[in-house]
Amino acid sequence: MKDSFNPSIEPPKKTVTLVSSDGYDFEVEEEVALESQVIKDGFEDKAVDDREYLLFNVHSDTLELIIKYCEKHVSSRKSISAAAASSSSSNGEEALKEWDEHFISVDTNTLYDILMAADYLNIKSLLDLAIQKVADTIHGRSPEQIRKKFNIENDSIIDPWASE
Amino acid sequence: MDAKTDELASELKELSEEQSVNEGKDRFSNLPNTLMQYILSLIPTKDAVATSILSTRWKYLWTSLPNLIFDDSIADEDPVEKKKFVDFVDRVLNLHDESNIKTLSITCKDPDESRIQAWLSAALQHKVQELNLDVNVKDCLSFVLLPELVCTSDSISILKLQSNLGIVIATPFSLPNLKILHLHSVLYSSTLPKKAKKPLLFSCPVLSELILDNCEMPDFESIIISLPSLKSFILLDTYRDSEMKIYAENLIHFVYRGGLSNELSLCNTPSLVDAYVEVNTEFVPKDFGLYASKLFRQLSKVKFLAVTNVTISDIFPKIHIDRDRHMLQSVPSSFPLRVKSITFEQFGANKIELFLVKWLLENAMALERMTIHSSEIFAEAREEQVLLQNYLSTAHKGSKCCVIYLF
Repeated sequence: MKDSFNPSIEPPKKTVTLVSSDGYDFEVEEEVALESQVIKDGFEDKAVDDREYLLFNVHSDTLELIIKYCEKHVSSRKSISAAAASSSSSNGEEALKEWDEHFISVDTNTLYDILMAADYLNIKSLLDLAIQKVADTIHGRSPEQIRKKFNIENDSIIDPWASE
Repeated sequence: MDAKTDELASELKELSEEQSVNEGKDRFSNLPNTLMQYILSLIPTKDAVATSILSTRWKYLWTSLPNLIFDDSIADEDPVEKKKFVDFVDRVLNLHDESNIKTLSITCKDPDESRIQAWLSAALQHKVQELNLDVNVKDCLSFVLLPELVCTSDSISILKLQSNLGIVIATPFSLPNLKILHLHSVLYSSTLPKKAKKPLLFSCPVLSELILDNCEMPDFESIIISLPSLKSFILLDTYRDSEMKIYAENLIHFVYRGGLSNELSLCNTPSLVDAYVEVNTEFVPKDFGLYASKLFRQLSKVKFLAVTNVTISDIFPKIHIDRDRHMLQSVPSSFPLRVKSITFEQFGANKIELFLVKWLLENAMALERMTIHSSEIFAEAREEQVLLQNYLSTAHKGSKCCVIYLF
């Protein structure tokens, strides 16, 4: 699922460098990085040639997914507002919702990594998406199923609700 | 971006998935409490509480749930299930930690009054902000008296009560932070002596949205609604045996649907922009004409007005009153109604429709065109059509240049 920008109408992009916890450099466009409220908050104070962020809590596997999410949301927002401006009908929001749903359909380990990274980087929409996914996974499952799904060990000595 | 490809990423993902299965590590239990509670807040109350048995980490997480929603409709009539429901609500409210409860919603059939009151009191101790209570009683002898603490709470900002006249309010509302109030079929019984012309909702200084849906207020000779902060008011009453006066200087949106069985006065509503009036003509009260003409005169300054008449037969005549804003500004405000064009659809020539035609012709001074589309039944009635034509050509008209089309 690659996203394509139209390079002819866009001016040259400014970029920033994100460094994952395992030492990989990711060069991303400014506006993509700014999806993170944490990066946005200190952005103006940093010198232009020093826009490098060491993300000690985010592994390169997870960071790649996070960047993919942010790029998709930046480009979708543009095409949605462009469609609105030309008052042509667009199912952009619906399509983005579908994309999100597909994006977050990952194994529980990856879901945990995305959730923690979204919290650490303060990307509200992604945090909401991940939290909702966890809630949906719990809802409607028996305790035993939930334990298995999340590898929860039942360490209660006496189960106070056992009578139910 | 780095040289990593999607393919590699998916391989790594699969690898880490395998690892996790092999390791069987419980990572989610390490989430900070705030995130754990955020997750639980998105799950129905029953399932959220049930997570307490997962492990000791999860045992007390639910006790700070901000939104509690209880619905006994699954319990049905089974007394064992009903008792389970009551015990469950008791336990959740008793074991809730000291954090605030944002929302409490209870849907309950044939409830035990003392339990409901205890639950409401517990919620108020946790400074509940939104209270939704839907109570269905089995007969007119059983009811739930709304605790005085609810009627005078300073934490409640949204209050929605629904019943089959099984909730009784006996304490005048004094809710300093109430913004939204919906009352559906509740009994508002004042402890004040009869004929005391006291305002219905005493002090709700920030109330902006009000719905009164078929509420009974037997102890009021005159119902006075005086709410300067009110912006939207929806009033539904099939039958009301006392007059109602509305003083709401900031009211923008007004809906009335009902039988107009008693006087309804908009005494001070200078900000009103749009109004929707639907009169149910199931029975026509004695002074209907008087009430209707008074109401329409009070609505004459609104920018958009829709009026709909509904009869119990299959005839649903609709009257659209379109108003020209420029006309509104250029005609002196002393004129009662400055409509330019009126269309009747499915006109059946019933008593109320004829009254409206007569009244509008007399009072709509700027009327240029009145269009009447007969209903199928009325179109067949040749004699009555001729009578109506004769009436329309000779009727007294307030407007000098009005053309009437009858189809």
